[in-house]
Amino acid sequence: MIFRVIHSIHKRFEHWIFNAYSTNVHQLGLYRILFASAIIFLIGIPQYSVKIAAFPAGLFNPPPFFSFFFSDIPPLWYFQWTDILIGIGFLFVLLGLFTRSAGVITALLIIVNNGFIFSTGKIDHSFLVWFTLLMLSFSGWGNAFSIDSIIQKKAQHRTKNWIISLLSLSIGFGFFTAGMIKFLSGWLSLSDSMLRAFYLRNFYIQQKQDYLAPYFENFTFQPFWELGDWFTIVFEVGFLLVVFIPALFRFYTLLALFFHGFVLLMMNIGFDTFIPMYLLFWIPLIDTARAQKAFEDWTKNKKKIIGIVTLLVGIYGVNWWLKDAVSLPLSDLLIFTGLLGSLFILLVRPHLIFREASKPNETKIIMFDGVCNLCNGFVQFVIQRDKHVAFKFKPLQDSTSDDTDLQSIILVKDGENLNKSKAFLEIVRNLHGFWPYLYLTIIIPRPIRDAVYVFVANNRYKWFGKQDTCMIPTKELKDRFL
Amino acid sequence: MAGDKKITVFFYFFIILLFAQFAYGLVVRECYPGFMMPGFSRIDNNGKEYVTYDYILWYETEQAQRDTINLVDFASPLSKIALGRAIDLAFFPTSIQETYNGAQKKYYRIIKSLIGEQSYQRNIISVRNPKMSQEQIDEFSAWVKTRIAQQQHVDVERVHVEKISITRDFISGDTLSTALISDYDF
Repeated sequence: MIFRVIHSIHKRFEHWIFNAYSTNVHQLGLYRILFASAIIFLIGIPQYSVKIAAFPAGLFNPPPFFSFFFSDIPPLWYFQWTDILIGIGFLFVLLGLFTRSAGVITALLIIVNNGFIFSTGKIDHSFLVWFTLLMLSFSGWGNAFSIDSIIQKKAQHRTKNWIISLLSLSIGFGFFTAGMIKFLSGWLSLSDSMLRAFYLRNFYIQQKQDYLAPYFENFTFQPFWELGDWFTIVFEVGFLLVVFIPALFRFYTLLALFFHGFVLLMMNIGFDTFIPMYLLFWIPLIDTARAQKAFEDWTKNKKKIIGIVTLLVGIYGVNWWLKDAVSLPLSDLLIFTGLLGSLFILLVRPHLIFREASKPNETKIIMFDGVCNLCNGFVQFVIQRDKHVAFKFKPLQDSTSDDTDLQSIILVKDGENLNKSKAFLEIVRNLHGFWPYLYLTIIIPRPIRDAVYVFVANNRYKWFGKQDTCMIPTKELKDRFL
Repeated sequence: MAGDKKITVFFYFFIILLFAQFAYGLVVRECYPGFMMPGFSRIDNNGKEYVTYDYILWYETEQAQRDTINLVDFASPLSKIALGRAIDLAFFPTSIQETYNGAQKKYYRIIKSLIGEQSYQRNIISVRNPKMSQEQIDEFSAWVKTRIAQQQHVDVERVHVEKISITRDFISGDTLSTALISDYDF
């Protein structure tokens, strides 16, 4: 019995590794451009020579593991040269030129150089972002929308989707560690608020007093601060739990955007580098057909290719010069855009969060009890909110005469028959309005969800009544019924 | 398929690695590269007042002019937290452990009772707060003087660093009292 359970968990884990985030080279190629653009133009390429010039002398105190490899800080010229290499590396990643080598070298240089900066004893936790750059260099993200894809003789279409699963696990675990440290040190105590304590320490000791920080100084409504403590821990610890459910992980990336925006406004701490990382988990939903067509048209003409590359290099150069000449809080702007974007999706377009990646020519069929008033009502409910016309309908009575087979709606999808709560949640996640939020209940163990479903199903005739014959669709809806 | 199996095995090892580095980070010190995020453990308070720690850095010029330094500006482009950590290691090594919060003190008491004082000092404390040699402290002191001189355009004769605790009202944020924990002259 126990071996069967372990085997079943292993099989599900294996399925998650390779299938949770199914992307294609074009989606990854587009993501590569967005990632590199965000770092180059908004966040800024790391400048280690500037930081190392301010590094306290005599204080090489590297973190464990890093200390195995290095015993002192290299001279300034090393950082000046690596700054140039990192800059060129990002330009190459943006253009998709020697993409894998450029990504790997850039990521490794950043990871090593950060290690020197962190040798004061304070780690700033941007490692995950550079780990993302390192791992995605092996994902095949240079095989589309890139110079590499033009040069290579044979088109490469293979992507390594397991890398995205690995990154989701790393992010989920990273947040989990932050939440657990808070939990273990007593953040959930009701007699005080740690969020307030940290805000006050940041405000007075670290002198972080910009944006909305001054307005919170005298905001002493205790439930607000206590709620902040609880939200922080539930959000951070929960991140690890949702790793295995991609739609919920996307939902959590929106919460993270909201969280980072709020932290910047209140505490002036900017987690800007994390923003492009979250975008990765939305790319399986992006339709790249138009971008593909445009890229194919451009690349037919050599002059156009040279023109676009020259233009991009020119913009990169101007940006390099402007960064030094003009100081604009573009990284903060990125965080605020993330905050507003997350609020927009959470409040206005929640169906974008939970929907599945569209598959061409896929038809989903909802099979329902045609004489049940509740089921007929549900079908009408779905039709009104199924704006992409994703579902077709078929009364169960067409396929069976056994009453026990009528106890659950059946969703036929990808050749698989889903029933009970699983079918219900798979349907509502694709509807418009706020109904997709019901999909959050997928976190409840299936036996409990199904028990509730069966209880309602067993009483559906008693509570909602039944018809003598199956429903007949109206003329307008006839083609939606099989 | 053999490749897929290898990747699956890699994932299992990766999960073990994640938990191992987290446990090591909690008990001893955060590794780098590592997969932990900022934890912000407890600031001890009773819901009415709370204690934080800060540093005051004085300098005296050859002309006996005395002034304080804004440590946020002094540390930039590094953070004041990083500078504070450096000051602690160089000038106030014994006070670092005294300023641990209540939860950390409790966990360290348990660990100490499990592994013994000697092992605790050797394997945890000396990794978490490595002892600096006198040569390193002198180098750091000289760096502080030079940086003040460069930033303030003065000739620095003497520098005085104080580590203080500040008790503040939890609601209003007003300072209730300050106390000197330790100081250092160079």
